[in-house]
Amino acid sequence: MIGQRFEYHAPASVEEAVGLLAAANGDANVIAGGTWVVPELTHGIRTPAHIIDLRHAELSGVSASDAGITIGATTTYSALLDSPLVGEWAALLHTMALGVTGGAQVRNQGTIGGSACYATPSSDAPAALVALDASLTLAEAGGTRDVRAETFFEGAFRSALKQGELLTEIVVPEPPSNVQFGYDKLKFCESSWPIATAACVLGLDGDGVVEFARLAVGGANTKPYVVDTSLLVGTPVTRDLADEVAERAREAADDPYTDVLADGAYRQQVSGVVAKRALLDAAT
Amino acid sequence: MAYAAVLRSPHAHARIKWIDTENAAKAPGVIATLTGEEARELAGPIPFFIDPAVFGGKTTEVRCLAVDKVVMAGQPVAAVVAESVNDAEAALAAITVDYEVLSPVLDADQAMSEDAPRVYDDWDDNVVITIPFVEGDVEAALDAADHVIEDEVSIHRLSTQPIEPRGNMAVWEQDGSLTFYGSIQNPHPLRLHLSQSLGIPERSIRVIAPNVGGGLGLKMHGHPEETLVCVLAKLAGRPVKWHEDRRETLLIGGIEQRHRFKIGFMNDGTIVALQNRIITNIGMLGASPGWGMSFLSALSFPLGYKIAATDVQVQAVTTNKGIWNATRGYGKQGTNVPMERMVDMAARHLGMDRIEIRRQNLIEAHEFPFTTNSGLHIDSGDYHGALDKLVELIDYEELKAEQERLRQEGRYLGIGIAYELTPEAADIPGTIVGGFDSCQVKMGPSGNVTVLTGVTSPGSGNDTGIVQIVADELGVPIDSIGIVQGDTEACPYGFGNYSGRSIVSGGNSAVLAARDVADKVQAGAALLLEAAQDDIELANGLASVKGAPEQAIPIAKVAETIYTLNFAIPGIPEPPLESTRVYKPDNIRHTPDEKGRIQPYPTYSFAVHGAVVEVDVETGRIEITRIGIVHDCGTMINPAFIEGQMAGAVVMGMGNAWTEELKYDEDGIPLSTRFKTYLMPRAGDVPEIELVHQVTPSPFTLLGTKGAGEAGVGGGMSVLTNAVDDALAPLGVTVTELPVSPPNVLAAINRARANGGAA
Repeated sequence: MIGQRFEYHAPASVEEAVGLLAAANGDANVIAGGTWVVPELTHGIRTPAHIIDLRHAELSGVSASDAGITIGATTTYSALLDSPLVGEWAALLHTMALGVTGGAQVRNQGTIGGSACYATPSSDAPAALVALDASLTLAEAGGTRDVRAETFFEGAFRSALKQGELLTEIVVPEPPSNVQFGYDKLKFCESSWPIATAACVLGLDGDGVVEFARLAVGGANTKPYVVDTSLLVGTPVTRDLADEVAERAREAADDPYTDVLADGAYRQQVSGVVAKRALLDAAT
Repeated sequence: MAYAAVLRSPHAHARIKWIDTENAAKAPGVIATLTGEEARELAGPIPFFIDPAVFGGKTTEVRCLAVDKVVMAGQPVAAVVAESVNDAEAALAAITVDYEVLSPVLDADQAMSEDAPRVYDDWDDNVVITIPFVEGDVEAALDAADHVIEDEVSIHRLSTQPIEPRGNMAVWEQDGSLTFYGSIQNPHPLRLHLSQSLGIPERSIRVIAPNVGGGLGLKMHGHPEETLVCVLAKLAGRPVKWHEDRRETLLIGGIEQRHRFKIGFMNDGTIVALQNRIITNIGMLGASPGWGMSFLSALSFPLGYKIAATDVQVQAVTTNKGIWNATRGYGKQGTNVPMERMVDMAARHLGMDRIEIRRQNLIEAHEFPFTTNSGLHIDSGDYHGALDKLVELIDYEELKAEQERLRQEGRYLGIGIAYELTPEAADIPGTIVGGFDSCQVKMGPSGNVTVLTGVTSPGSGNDTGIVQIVADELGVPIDSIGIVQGDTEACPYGFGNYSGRSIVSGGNSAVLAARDVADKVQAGAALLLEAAQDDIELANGLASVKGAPEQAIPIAKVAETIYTLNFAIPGIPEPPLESTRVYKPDNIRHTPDEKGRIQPYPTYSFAVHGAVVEVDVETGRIEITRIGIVHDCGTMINPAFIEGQMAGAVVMGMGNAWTEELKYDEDGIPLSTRFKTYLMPRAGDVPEIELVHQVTPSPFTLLGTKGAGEAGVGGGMSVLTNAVDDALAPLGVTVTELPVSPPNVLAAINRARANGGAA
């Protein structure tokens, strides 16, 4: 039960939503599926005067554009899973969405945009968005701006969203045809939030030689980070190279996240493990 | 109806300087507010379910709202009644409490030091009670042993979480009587305790426990909110309901304890000595029965192992952590886990097989009944038979070969073995933990039967089991029988649900009552069929003459005749066809023996468990791939329910040992506040459970039944822990600390590697 009073708004457009957000003067929480915010309202961790629910703001859906695939901010994990476009061009997001904890109830309710906005380290989407080099479109009363996923996430529960801004869409660039995805997620048991995730985008030539590689780790640091994979380019992926990448992933986990489930030392140690596994998954 | 919300202390240890509820009283929808000072005028202390003072321990006064001082974060300090739950919860924010924050003491060892803060100001120290169980000369036995292992095993703080949280509702009638509805386990004892705390006659209170969505010990009473809701309903002048939030359920914990032990054994694996010092961290001492689990964790040593000399002592220590309540298993898991760790440690030390060392030390089938060192009188068993069945069930030899193969590939498979003993159906003298229970069986003129029981069902199916028993005794169809439980106005006096007692005490009392009714039906049928009463059989709704099935009359017709033609037919039995009986199990002895020991448990269920896990040594994550169980609870009434109970218990035990942990920050504030931070297992975490029944009836209960429902918790905890230990043996890891969560497992691997690997 939510033991506090707030005003609930369900704007029918982005324009209306940003207007409400501006009027709330910082004392508002935006929700899409509410899977993150509502439990925190229940626990009194958040006490906003306004809740702006984007369910009617027409921000759901996946479409193709020149830039790649455009995913509306309130697109649920289920909608991602159902989208042939995602399956074809961004299979990584499909794999990510499949693993979201909480079963059909959460997949039908939780949204990729919400996951990005609340920048929870214990979340599936952020590392995948960083690995895909996605771009996030942020709107405010005065206009919009685009931010790369890598810079959007600023820390645990901190993003580039400024007061008065909301996320409208996520653009995933169309990948080259020779791309392979890899994904690895560590969670403790079925009910556990992700402890560490790694997403890998790998371009291979016909002989399995790496043309490009992009590897991101989530959950280990307070924000997702890109692992230096330059040593892979021009060579096939080997176990030794994967171990080397794992070491780099560990070294890069220099601001590890701690919560009640796992401390920073643990997350740092397993960051290399998930990175290596995602890389090997992509390579095979 | 009005709704209550409870303001809880944000501090683990603090003095309440003042509370101001004026603004809350003016908040929208608010009907009444209540502080501890005010509540003290309206209700007395909450009686203990089991008072430590009965056993020579320290006690304290427990109030429904804290007065002067709070000793745990989450302790109720004030309450609001409002028109809606939302109004009530919103009004809590308008209450101001001025606290003088005190240093909390959270660790049990620290709590025992001279200069530790006192949880209770008037106590000399923080030790609630010290209970020793000594048999034989342990020092001499340790000296004489070929090998001695000295180590520790610690179990973390955990909880049992019914899917339905606690809920209470109080309704005061015009005449001053009270009806209390609650998701509770023990309606009759609660009626007594409410009458004591509220200062009204027991007869003026009716307690109703409707269908309960899981009890697990957590719904045994003594919680502040039971008395509180009654006081609030009186204040509000209308019915008041309180239904807790999961955060509140998760304030209640249990089990946290450390065992510091020496175990002595011979070259052939015979265990000859056990010395064990147990310290339990019971948190705040409350009126609920949780603290008493400390007693069981010591009393149950050395389970069914024949160890000549034992010296076991438990000290229950109060701290500023959350209150304990009973957790399914009631402290016996606090014996099972360390005992099974010790046996495995001895086996590893000797290079002996873990099945063999258990065969070597467990009581043999011909030695029952067997008196253990703590005075428990184990009724019956066939532990060796169960071990044989387990070896076959899990194909133990093949598993060991597979483990060896996988080790060559660098994979860490672990095979866990654990024996589990579950003393059941307790009677604790001087408390309302009763070992007997009652049943009333009533057959009406239609032949329909109503069964009223003193035991209650938390969803475990004992209601169905008792109906089956009555159907068998009366020979009537199951669908002609209804059952009523959990209503103190309707049901005969009983103690409700705990300690695997519902079929032992409740089921057997149903047998006695049903037999009384059957006697009358047989007498009536004998008269109508002109046969001897001894020759009348009751089955399939018919009373028939043995050997002459054509001579039969419907049981319903006999009932109708008894009720409607009682004056017309001379000699027909007198109505009503009703009987109320109590069943007192044998094998309970409260007269202390020459060593001062009593025997509070009539029956001893047991199980042996085998589990296979694979440990990911890079992350510490565990995959449970097999669970095999041989379970023996004596005579079974309904195997499907027993299988369901065992599956639930073993998975609960595994979750307890694995990812469930109630954590606190350094100020004593709970961090595990929801199911994302207190991780319970889900179906996908466990494989299909392979369960084999063995049936060794108890000679001391009417039907030979033992308790079912608790067994599996301690076994699940032990077998998972032992499996992880076995998996990591090649790395030199010995698991001594629960939970075996991925971070703890990885830390143990890191430590072993830092120490140079394999032992």
